[in-house]
Amino acid sequence: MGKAHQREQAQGDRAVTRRYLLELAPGIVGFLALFLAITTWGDLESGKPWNFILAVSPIVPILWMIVAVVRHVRRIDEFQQILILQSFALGFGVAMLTALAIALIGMTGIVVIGTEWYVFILGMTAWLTGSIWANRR
Amino acid sequence: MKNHLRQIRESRGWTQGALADLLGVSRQTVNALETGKYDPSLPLAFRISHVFEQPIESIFLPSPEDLPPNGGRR
Repeated sequence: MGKAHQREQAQGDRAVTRRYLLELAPGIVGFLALFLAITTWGDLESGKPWNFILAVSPIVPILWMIVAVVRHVRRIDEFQQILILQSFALGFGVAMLTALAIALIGMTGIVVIGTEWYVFILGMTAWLTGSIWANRR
Repeated sequence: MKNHLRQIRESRGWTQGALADLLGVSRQTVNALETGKYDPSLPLAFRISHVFEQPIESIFLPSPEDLPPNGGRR
């Protein structure tokens, strides 16, 4: 029996992956669409009262994505749950360290604009990196 | 914990993917079990035992560190 044959993906794996991507995709597309729309046409700094609602609107598809991830975690098996937990831990750790580093730097009086984005981007990157690493195990 | 999972699976001509589908887990999990990277929960071990129609102790073997501190003597 060849190694490639041995490593043939299970039908269940394909179904779980397909369902996860199908559930996650509307959240990703929705977030990108809303984010692009409000930054392009939102005129967020005009001082209008509804700008606050416009500015936080990309959170809605993110909530959808959180639900999709939770549903995925419930579907995967016990070993994969451990792996995904490790990738969450990595993402959380990196996000918290970044937030703490920014707060500590802020104590020196140095103000860097948009530092909150570093928390989000580095946390998400660490989670993604952790997921890729976990899937290669 | 050691196991004979790979030998038993190969003796039946099953792929890791086929066994994964029978057990309701991923192929990655079957591979992790076979390579000893992951020890299954008791429910999964019972499922494996049921699929192969063999008792758990004929599939999984305890390593010395899995035994009680007195070496299993009564």
